[in-house]
Amino acid sequence: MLYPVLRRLEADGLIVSEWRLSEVGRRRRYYQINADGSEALATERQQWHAVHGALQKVWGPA
Amino acid sequence: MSRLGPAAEELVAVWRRSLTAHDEFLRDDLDELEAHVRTGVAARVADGVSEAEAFADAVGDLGPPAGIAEEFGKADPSRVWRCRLRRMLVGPLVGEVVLLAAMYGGLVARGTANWFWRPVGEVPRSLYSVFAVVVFTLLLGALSAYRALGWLRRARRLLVGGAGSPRVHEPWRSPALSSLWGCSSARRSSCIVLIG
Repeated sequence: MLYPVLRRLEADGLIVSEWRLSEVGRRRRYYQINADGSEALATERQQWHAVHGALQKVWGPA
Repeated sequence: MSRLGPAAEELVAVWRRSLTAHDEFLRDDLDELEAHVRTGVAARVADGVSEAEAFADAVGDLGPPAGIAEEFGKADPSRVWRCRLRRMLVGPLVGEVVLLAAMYGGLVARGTANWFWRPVGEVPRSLYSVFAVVVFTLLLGALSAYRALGWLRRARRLLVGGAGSPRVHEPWRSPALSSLWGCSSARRSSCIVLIG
């Protein structure tokens, strides 16, 4: 489920959220990534690419 | 938050109450989950599905309350204990506040009575009792009013929904869905992850 993950990201200070009214008048919670979150995302992405590159070298192109 | 039909509102309220039994949820979590269900119901109703069916589908997508609570608990394991601690502290604190209010209310009442009665002479002891009764009645009245507000809300829902109490259907307890949730913990978690 997505909500607990969002809650954790917010607790870790990587995203911020706020309640707003949507166009149809419903209360909705909107999430936005902040500077720390963008930095963490870039680091994670870099690590993922490193793992992906290493695995591709081992397995070769599909 | 835009309103659904009376029957769907009752279903959403009952479903939300079933979530409050779990310590893993904060009020904000409940608001967000409720908003999710309401959006799901509205979207399905717009597609021509009945409100009851739409509600069953929307709630079924989220899974049983215990499963949702488990997921929230995994995301922040200390939260459950924080909630329990808060619950343990709130009761005694409220009791303390009521006692202090009664005590200081009595003192204020006595001082006020003395001040007003001063031109006449010594305040009769019976008057203290009258003030004490007034203070306690006010406190009890406030508590009763709080309870009565809840009952009024329920009564309004019943009146808006028509004569008699609407039958509350709890689709997350239906045999079909229970069989899905009766699967192993790992499978259930994967179901919930896929749904999320």
